[in-house]
Order: sequence, then structure tokens, then C-alpha cells
Amino acid sequence: MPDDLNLTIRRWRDALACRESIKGEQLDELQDHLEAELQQIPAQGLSEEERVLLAARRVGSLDQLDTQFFDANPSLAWRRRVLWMVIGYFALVVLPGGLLKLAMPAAIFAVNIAAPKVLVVSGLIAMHVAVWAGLFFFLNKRMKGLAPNAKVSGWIKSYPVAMITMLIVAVLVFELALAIPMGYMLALRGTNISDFGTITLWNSFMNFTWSFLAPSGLGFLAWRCYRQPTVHS
Amino acid sequence: MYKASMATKELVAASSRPLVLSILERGESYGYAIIQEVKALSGGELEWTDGMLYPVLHRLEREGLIQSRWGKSDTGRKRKYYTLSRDGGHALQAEKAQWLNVHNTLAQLWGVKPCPTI
Repeated sequence: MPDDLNLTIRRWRDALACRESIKGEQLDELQDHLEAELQQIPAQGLSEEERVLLAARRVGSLDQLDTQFFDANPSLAWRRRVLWMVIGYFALVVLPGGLLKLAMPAAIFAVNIAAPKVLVVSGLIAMHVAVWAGLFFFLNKRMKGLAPNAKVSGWIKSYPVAMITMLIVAVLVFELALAIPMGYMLALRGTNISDFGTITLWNSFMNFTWSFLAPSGLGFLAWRCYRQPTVHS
Repeated sequence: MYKASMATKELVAASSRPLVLSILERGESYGYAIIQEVKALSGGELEWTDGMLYPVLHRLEREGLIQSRWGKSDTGRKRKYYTLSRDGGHALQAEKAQWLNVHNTLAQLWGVKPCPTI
């Protein structure tokens, strides 16, 4: 099979894999169906991409497939609801608390080196950007099909799960990377944590950024996935 | 374009179950072949969108009416084959009785020849 044909089929499959309701072996089954349709389309006068486009049309649009698979599996609707509840909880409660812990050593450090506050705030924003950029990179790789047959692929491809996992990992990594050296440094300098007076300011800053960034990042992820180039018209 | 003899969406959906069970009663098959068979048998009057079939197959499998296995197609692709289970056979008998009931009721009203019941 020519490479560009494989690539076009791959793209179709990846676009399909973005849909939460279709996963794992169902993708294999639909791909087999697409290729069976493809065999019925004459090669003369058509480019490989045009042939895949025609075959994909016969299989059905991505939205159609997604709806049909979603309707056939009522547990998906519940899974989706529960996941959004979990996301909401994380976005509004857990993450601000977690990040506050991260922000404290950084803020204490900032106060100690007497850096301008604007610098500290931009640093924290950069930290958010880094977390999300890492997440996009990770999902992008997954969407390009680097590990399409991995056992976890069906699970990890749901953005909510991927997002929560990545954020937990990110929080842990930042905590280790920042808090430990900071704490060590502070201990060396003999600084008392209660010296930090503007804690409430940081608290509200953190609450705001996390509750705003988590949903907007999620929206961006969904948008990225759904606008993947695809043969589907 | 509207075509009077074409089955409505609801009827297509409702008949998908007995159709799949009946086709699998004839022997093992797979998605694409099942759709081709429905198209051929109905002379194109039952228009199935291809993607519609798989949720039906997966639901029947969850209900234990059909069983599946992964095999290879003639060109070596991974392909999922389905067979009717024992429960599926019973379910098919029940479906047959129901559909023939509906058919015979309408046939009497319309004054056309009813079908033999089973």
C-alpha cells in the first residue's frame, strides 16, 4: 500500500480517535470497514486521498459515527458527566490549594531577594504556560498516533483524564523542583514562613488563575483535537 | 430526495436488530459484508449508514446474542467476525414472531395475502 494512502487513512483514524465514544478495537473495526470500502473504489482517475475521502463518506461523517456510538453506550454519558464534575472540583478547589503550596516558597523567595512583584507574577504565569504547553505537546503526540495501540490509549485520550493526570504530575514535579530547594535555602537563611504577610493576595491570585486556566486550557485542547486535518469533509 | 418506498429512519433502526440476527444465523460474518448483504437483499430500499451497524453489533454482543472474534481478512487486515450465539437464536425466534405479527395485522387491514406464521 502506498505511503500517502496509509497516511490518509491514519489521519482519518486519528480524527476518529479524538472522539470519546469510539476507542480501541472499535477503531480497528472501523478502519477495516474503511479499507473494505476503499477496495470498491476504482483507482483510475482518482488520487489516493480522493479515494479515501469517498470511502470515508460512505462510512459516515465523524459526527454521525460519534453520535451513533455515543447513543449506543449509555454509560458514556455518565462517564462524561462524572468527569466534568471531577474537573470542576479540581479546577475550583484542589488545584488552587495545591498551587498555593507551590507559590509560597517562590513568593517567600521573591520577598527575600526583594524582586519586584510584577516579576514574580510573570514567573508564575510562565509556570502555568509551561504546564499547559507540556500538556498540549503530550496530547499532540498521542493524537499523531505515536502510541495508538497502547493499552491505555483509549483511557488517556479522553482530555479530562489526561488533563487531570498531567496537572497532578506537574504539581508534584514543581513541588519537588521548587519547594525542596527553596525550603532548604530558607532554612539556611533562617527565614520564618509566617513573615510572609501578603499571603491572602497570593491566595486570591492563585484561585483566579487556576479556576480560569483549567477550563480554558481544556477548551483549547478540545478545539485542537477537533480541528485536526482530516480527510473527512 | 424523498422516495416513497424508502424506509424511514425509525423503521431502519428498529429492523436492524432482526436483520443482523438473521444474517448471522446464516453463518459467521463481519460488518462490511453484513451491510452489503442488507443493501443487496433490500434492493437499496433499506438505506443503512455504515456507521450505524457497529453500535448495533456491539449492543447485541453485550446482550450475549452474538459473539465475536478477531481474525484476518483475505488481504491480511485485522477483522472482527461475528457469530450468532445460542441466546441469539432464541432472540431471533422471538423477533420473527413479533415482526410476522405486525406484518399479518397490517396485511389483513390492507387486504393483502398474509404470511405464514412460525
